Formats: sequence, C-alpha cells, structure tokens
Amino acid sequence: MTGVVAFTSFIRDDLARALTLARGLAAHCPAWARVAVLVDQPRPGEDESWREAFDLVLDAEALYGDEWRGFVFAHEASEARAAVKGRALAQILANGAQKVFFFSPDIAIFHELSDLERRLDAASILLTPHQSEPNASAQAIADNEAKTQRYGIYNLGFLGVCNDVAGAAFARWYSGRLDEGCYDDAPAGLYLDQKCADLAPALFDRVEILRDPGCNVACWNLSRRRVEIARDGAILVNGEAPLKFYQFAEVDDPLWIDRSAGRRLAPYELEAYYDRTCAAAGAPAARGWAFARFDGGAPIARAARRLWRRDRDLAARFADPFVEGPRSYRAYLQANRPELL
Amino acid sequence: MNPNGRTPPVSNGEALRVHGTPAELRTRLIQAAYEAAVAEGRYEAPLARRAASRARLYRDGRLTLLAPYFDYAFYADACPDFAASALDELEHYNFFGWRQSLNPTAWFDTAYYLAANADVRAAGDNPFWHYIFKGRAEGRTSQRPRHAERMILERTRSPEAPEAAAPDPTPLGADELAARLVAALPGAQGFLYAVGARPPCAPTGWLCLQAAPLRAAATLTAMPAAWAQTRLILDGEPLGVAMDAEIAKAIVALREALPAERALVVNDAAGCSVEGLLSIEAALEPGRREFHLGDFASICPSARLLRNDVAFCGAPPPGSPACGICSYGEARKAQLAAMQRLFQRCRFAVVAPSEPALALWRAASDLPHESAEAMAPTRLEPLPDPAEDDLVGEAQPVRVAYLGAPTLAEGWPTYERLLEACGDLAAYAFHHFGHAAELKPRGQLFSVETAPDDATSLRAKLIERRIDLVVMAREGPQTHSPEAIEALTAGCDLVALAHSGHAAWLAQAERRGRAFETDEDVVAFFVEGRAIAYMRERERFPRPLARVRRDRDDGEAT
Repeated sequence: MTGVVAFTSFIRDDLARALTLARGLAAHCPAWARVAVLVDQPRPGEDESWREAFDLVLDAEALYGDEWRGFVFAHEASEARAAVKGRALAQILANGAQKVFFFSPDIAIFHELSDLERRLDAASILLTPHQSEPNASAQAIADNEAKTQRYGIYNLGFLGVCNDVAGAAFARWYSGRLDEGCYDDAPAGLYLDQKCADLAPALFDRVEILRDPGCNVACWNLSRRRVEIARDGAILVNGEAPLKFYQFAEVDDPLWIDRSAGRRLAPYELEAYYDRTCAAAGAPAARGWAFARFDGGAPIARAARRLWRRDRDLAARFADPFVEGPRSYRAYLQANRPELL
Repeated sequence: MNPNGRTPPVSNGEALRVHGTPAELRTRLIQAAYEAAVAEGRYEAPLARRAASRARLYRDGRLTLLAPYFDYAFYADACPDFAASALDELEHYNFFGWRQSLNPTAWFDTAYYLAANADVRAAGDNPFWHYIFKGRAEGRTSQRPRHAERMILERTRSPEAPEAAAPDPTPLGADELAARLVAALPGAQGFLYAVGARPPCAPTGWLCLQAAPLRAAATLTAMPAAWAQTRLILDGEPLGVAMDAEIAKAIVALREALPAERALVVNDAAGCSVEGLLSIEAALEPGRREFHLGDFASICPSARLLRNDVAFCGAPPPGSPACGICSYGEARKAQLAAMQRLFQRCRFAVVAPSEPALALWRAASDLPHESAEAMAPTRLEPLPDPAEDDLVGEAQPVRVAYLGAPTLAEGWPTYERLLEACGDLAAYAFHHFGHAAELKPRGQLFSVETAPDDATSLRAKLIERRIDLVVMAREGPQTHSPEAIEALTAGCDLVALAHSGHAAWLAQAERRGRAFETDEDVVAFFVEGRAIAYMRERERFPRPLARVRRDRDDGEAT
C-alpha cells in the first residue's frame, strides 16, 4: 500500500466511532488509503459490513504472532488500542506507504487535509500539542496545562510520519517503546503511547509541532481555541482557521467541556452532531472486548493483569494467562490471590 | 419620517420616545424613590411579594439575606410537598430542598452547582447561598452553560419521513370530488387552489380549495401523485381527503366549468408531494402562481433557519461545513432539489410578508421565479395620547415584557438570563404575557394572561400594564411578526436580536427600540443600565399609541 495512508486502531465496541472517522476521511481525503487495526476477535454471526469503510483491516494479532496472547493480557482495552499503533505504523511504512497518519477512532474530520500531507514534505514527524497557547485562569491551567504535563505534551490521537530516514527511525523507536510499556500508569511516568512522545522533538530530526488551531481540537484546548460557526457556513477556530479535525474524547470529568467552552454554542453543537452521527453509523451493539475475560468467561480484573505483567516469574509460568484449568493463571489467583478475581 | 409628524430627537442616531408624561418620567426609574413606593405598599402583588420577601426575617440571618433572590412561587410549584411541612419555601430549601436537588429559582441548578464545585459540595453548604454571596462574584455559573440549547441538542434528530396517521380516511375519488366542486361553483368569479393556509388577500367572490398533506412532515416528499393524500377544505368547510392524482383528474374534468381566472397559491408546502403539486398545477393551468414566504422552508427544512434547532444559521450554501453538522443538512439537499423542480415549473410570483424576509430569501435562494416582492410595509398611525393618569409623579421601574410561549426559538432563555441578572433589581419589572398554558410561575415575573382567541387582548393588556420594552430575542428570523406590531401600537419599544427578522426590522425602521447582534448584548443592555438610560432619553416624547396602516398598491389604506 503506497501513497498516503490514514490508519486507526480500535476494539469492536469503538466501531461506531471508527466508522464515523472512516467516512469523514473518505469524504475529505478520498485519495488516502484507510487502514483499520482491529484489536479484538470475531464475533460469530455479527455483521462485518463495516469492513467496507476501510481499504484494509489488519488483525492486531497478526502483528505479534505467538506473543499476542501474553501481550494483550498485559493490557487494558485502552492500553492495547494504543500499544498496537507502533507495530502497525512500522508495518505500513514497510509496505511502502510514503506518508502515514494515525487518527484516534474518536476523531471526526471536518475539512480536507492536504495541508497535513504537504507538511510531511518538509517534516518527517508531525505532532499536535495538547496546548498551543498559554491558558489564562487558574482553573484553565489546572484543567489543561497541569494535565498535559502529567499525560504528555503531544496528543497521540494524531500522528504524522513520513517514510524517510528520520520517520523510519522514529517508527522503530516508537514501536519499541510501546512493546516495552504502553500502560496507563502515571506514577511510573507512563501514559499509553503518549508520555514517551514528549521525547520525540529532542530525539529526532525534522519534527514539526503542528500549532494550527484547527487541528485536533478537543476539550483540553477549547479554553484557547474558540470554535465558531460563521454565517457563510464555515466552522472556524479562533476566527480564521478552518476546523480540520476534532477529537471527541471520552474524559472522566463531564464538566471539563463546560469550563472550557463556556457559553460558546458551537462545541456543544459539534458534540451533538457527533453523538447523532455515531448513533446512525450502523455499527453493531457494544458487547464488550473479547480480551476482557478469561477463556471460561470470567472477567479479568485490572489488578490481575498488572500482577501478571509485573511479575516475570508468573509471566513465564503462565505463558497464556487466558486459559483456564488446574494449572492456569486463574487457578493460581484463586489459590493465592483471590482478592484479584 | 415620524408617523405623528414631529421630528423626534436623535440620540446616538436613534429617535427616542417614551411612555408617560414628562411629569411622570422625571421621577420614574429612580430606584430609591421606587423602593420607597414599594415600602409603602402601593404596588401590586408580585412586586409587593418581592418587597415582602426582602423584609422577611428569619432566625438564620443568612436566609434573611437570601430571601430577595429566592423564588417562592417557582419553588412552591416545583415542590408541592413542602406545603405539608411547617416551613416556608426558603426554609424548606435550606434544610431539605438543596439536598434533594430541588432548585430555588428557574435559573439556578442545584445539582449542577454542587457537581461543578467540589469545595461547596465538601463544605455541605447551601449552594444557592454560596452562589449569591460568593460564587457569582468568583465567576462560577448557576447552571451548565447553554443549558436550554443543550437540552434541545441532546434530543435533536434529523427530520423523518411523514408518520402514518391512523386510520386513513376513505379518499374521495375524482368523480365525487368533481361533483362537490361543481355544486359550489355557481357564482364563483375565480378559483383559488391554496396549499397551506388560505392567503389573507384571497379575492372576494373566488372559490377557494385549500389543501394540506394528510401526514405532516418538515420537507417536501418524493411520493408519487397517486399515493399522496391531501386533506381538502372548500371555502372553509372540510371536504375530505383525496389523492393528488384524483384532485388533478377532477380539475381536468371540470376545466371547462371552472372560472377563467384561476390561481395557485402555495403558503406552506411542507409534507406535500412535489409530483402531486406539479400534477395539480398542470391540471389547473392557473393564470397566477404565487409562493408566499410564510417561513423559509423553500431554503431549508428548518423553516426558521435554526441550525440544529438552536442557532440562526444565515442559510449558508448547502454543502457548507455548517450544514454538514446540522440535523437538517442532509434533508436540505433533497428539499432544495424538490423546490428547484417546483419553482422551475411554476415560475412563481414570490410574495414576502415583509422587506427583511424578502431580502433574506433573495440572498439565500437561487430558485427561479417570475417576480419577488414584499407586501406593503406596515405603517403606524399615531393615536391621541392617553389621558394623564394617577401614576404621574411616581417613581416606577422600566416595565419589560416577553410575549408568548416560553421557548428557545422565541428567545425565552435570554429572557430568563435577564431575570437571573436583573430580577432582583427594583429598577426593572419583568412581565410575561401569554395564554394560561404558556405562563410559568415565577416570583420575579408579573404573569399576564391574554385571551387566545382575541387579537386585541394582547395590545390592550400591554397598554394596561404600560409596558416600556418588549424583549423579542428570537433566534430564527420571522418573516412577519404580528406581536411586534401589536407591541408597537401599544406604545412599547422593541429589544430584538438583529437576526430576529421582522421585529428587528421594525425596531430600526420605526426607530422604536434596539436590535443587538447577540443575546449577550441584550443581557448587557439591561445589566449595564443602558435600558434605563434609553428610557430616560425618551422621556421628552409622549407615549406613541398607534394603529396599523398598510398601504395598498392603489394608494388606499387597509
């Protein structure tokens, strides 16, 4: 697959969002190939017509081979979705793509993106910062700047990489870091694939920090990105930049957008549009992640995953921790750590 | 030209007039004097209650301070259980209500305030007290931003296909329909087929067949004429339901018998079949085809041009990003294609009820048409000034009114923000005029019931209450605003949004009010006291009661 490739990674419960992204890409960037990385398993009898929205669907398991079962057990769904991005990027570049963009499945496209493509002529790596101008109030600083310092300067819901020397070096490094630890573990200095990307501008040449306010608008930067809908029908950010893509991230603080958007109506209209579009996307109903349970159907607690990935002896002893039976990881937990079940 | 022949003074480019006589106005609007009058009990119930609430003493001094801001009427309506307690409304809220997420006023959301302010939640304090005496000054908000709009956004769906009306009546066949029409034809000087409401200017002596789709919908439909069911009314009498193809057949069969003068007038085509309309037009061969702009459905299925039902959109190009996120965006493309067919074939004479409606339609529409004109503009003829009354010399607040149903489209959220910001100020008295079902219990409002079937009721009550300013912060443009005309003839001035359409146009054309760009500007006009200054400026001119005059083409007034 050559030329420009846009890819995303998701579990089946994200399908409505991924389809919304894919349709936006098809409408605004029809020349780009669309690749999906599915971090899930087939569901018997489920409609697979969603695959038509993509040019290629990669099965994440194929990127890992025999390591897959252990790898995916070590991750929560949100961690696994991010962790596979490194190997997928490397494979797409290896297959000959000239320019590759990653979009998180919760991003929606509102404008053609040829500018991003052009920027990868001069740069090898494109990153969008969570914040692109200073916040003013103490609340906005706490909401946005402080959280950005904790979770990463750049939002890895978007990434652009050119298939050149610097881009390939970045992809190797990124993939390696994600293999080692793509976890939601702020005390350990990790946050998915995002925190490590703070190092990218220092480690690699030709990194562009994309400050276009129309790119990657989200609740964490709405305080400084004034989204408005003009009477001529344009959706503008800060009065002049067209809104290119917006990340409808699910955050644990439902009032964040209230504080960031205030009385500006457009962000709420965008949120409503997105909810409406996802509801009408024709995705199958959410039924849970295939890797959220042991093979016997019992749910896997976060602490049980963490214990397995932290304790190398356990990982070596139970190479496939999903299986159940007398000598299984679950049997071990029942006997020794029942509080983790 | 000033309708009463006098040249009004100009302040900031605007002519100003005011209610009441100069003697009255010299002392009105002076808050101290007004409050003295309230204290003497010379004002009617809602204000007196407000005054009484100010004076109400509680053992807890904080409640005494909070009382002027608390809406006793609203709370009693929202929480009927409190009546069973020995407490009054404010005490009930203070001890129980806020813990049950009850609200002390329409504009304060207890649950939201606690959710948004962890420090207040942790302190276990009365959140309303916190907001009034601390939070407001700290910039905290009383409810989630754009609450009214978001309530609508959360429910907005794309326009759907017409819903089946059950059960379908037995339709009239072409023969039966023709027979009914023949029976009514003798003496008719012309024949009018009116889609939607009967046009107000329908010629006398003409037989009028009114048509409306059996199933309501926001858009024109692609239904074949043989399936499109239309409800018919003949000269005001229900005739029954017929398929459009049968209506066309009946007209063809009768063509020789029909009067030579025939007209097709489309007032409201929503829900109609394009095929059906075209087949009827072909059968009728009308000498005149008119399309009346009662709304903007010929531009968008959102006939008020409200993007997502919450914001005036300005009718941008149909492929614009704004249409892309609008719940009407997809339906608009089909609607415009259908309108294009209809207009291409009919070459309508487009008739707008007002100049601003025509201007907006011309700017936003490329539909082919024979002509486009606005009806004769409304003019106001002054009436004699009212007699001096017993209010002369007393201080009074600026009397502000909202007319009609309290909905977002009509601008109620803006009015409610005014109540939040200024409801406790003696300098203003806020009113709500409406039918009984439209009025909301609010301690900060004078509720004035108007009669639904009496067109003069609103004007009479506006005069009786001596309303100064009518707030018409409608989000979508209105092609014609009878309420604005009633208000002007009752001597009120208008405070409108610039995109409110006819009301904003009247305010500027008659130099009787202000039109603002945003709802924030409307609120600021009152909060910053500019509404009071505006009324003071007008004190040099008498209350301009008026009647409506429409100049016809022949020069006669109607």
